[in-house]
Amino acid sequence: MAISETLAFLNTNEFGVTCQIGAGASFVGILDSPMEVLAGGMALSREYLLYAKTSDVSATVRGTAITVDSVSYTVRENRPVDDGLFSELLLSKV
Amino acid sequence: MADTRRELILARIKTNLDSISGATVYRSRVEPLARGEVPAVIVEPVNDQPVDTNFFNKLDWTLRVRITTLVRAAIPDDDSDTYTQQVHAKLMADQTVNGYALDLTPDRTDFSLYEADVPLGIISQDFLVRYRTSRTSLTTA
Repeated sequence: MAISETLAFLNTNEFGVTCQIGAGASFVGILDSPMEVLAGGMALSREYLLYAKTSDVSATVRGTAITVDSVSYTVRENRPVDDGLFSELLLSKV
Repeated sequence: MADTRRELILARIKTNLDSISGATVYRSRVEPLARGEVPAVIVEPVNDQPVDTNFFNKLDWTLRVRITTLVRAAIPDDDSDTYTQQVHAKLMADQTVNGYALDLTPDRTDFSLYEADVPLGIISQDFLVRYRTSRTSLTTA
C-alpha cells in the first residue's frame, strides 16, 4: 500500500500556528525558537524557525514580512528541507 | 591586602568607561549576553608582561587590556562606531590611569560579525598600559 502524506501535524489543534505573508492567504506552520550560544559563549541569540509547506512559503526571500501567531517577523533565510516538500524559514523578530 | 597596581589600573579603566552613553559597562563579564543586554562594553585583562629596568629594584610591566563592545544591529560594525569612539576618547583622556601608569597606548582593534536573530557584532579594542612596580611587591611602585 502506498504511503500518502497527510500533513496532519500542520494543524492548529496540534503544534501548528497560523501564519500569513503580507496580505496573502493564511497557512499553518510550526514555530520553534531554540536559544543558541554565539561567539564562544559571549552572546545568546533566540532563533525563530518556521516549518511550513514549501508551496505556502516559496515566495519568501530575505526581508519578507511574515506574521506568525499574530507576531511580526522578517525572513532571514528560506531553506528547503529533505525532499523539498517542506521548507524551514529562519526568522528575525521585529 | 592592598590591591596590586594592575588591579587598580583595571578598576580605574572600568570607572573611566562607566560614563559611556547608551551602553552598559561590565568588568570581566563571563556570562553570555542576551539580545536585551546589549549594547554592552566589557573590560578585561589579557596578559601582563614584566621587563627589567635600569633600576635594580623595579620592574616595568606592559598590561594588555581588552575593551570588547557587543552590539546587535543590521550593520553591527556601523552601530558599534559610536561606542568604540567613546572608549578611545575616555581612555585617552586619562593616559596615566589616575597616576597608576606610565602611559596607555591603543593597540589593535578586531571585528567579529555573527549571524543571529539580529546580527551580532563583537568589536575588541586592545590597549597597552605600561606601569612600574617594585621588584618585590606588586602593590608598590
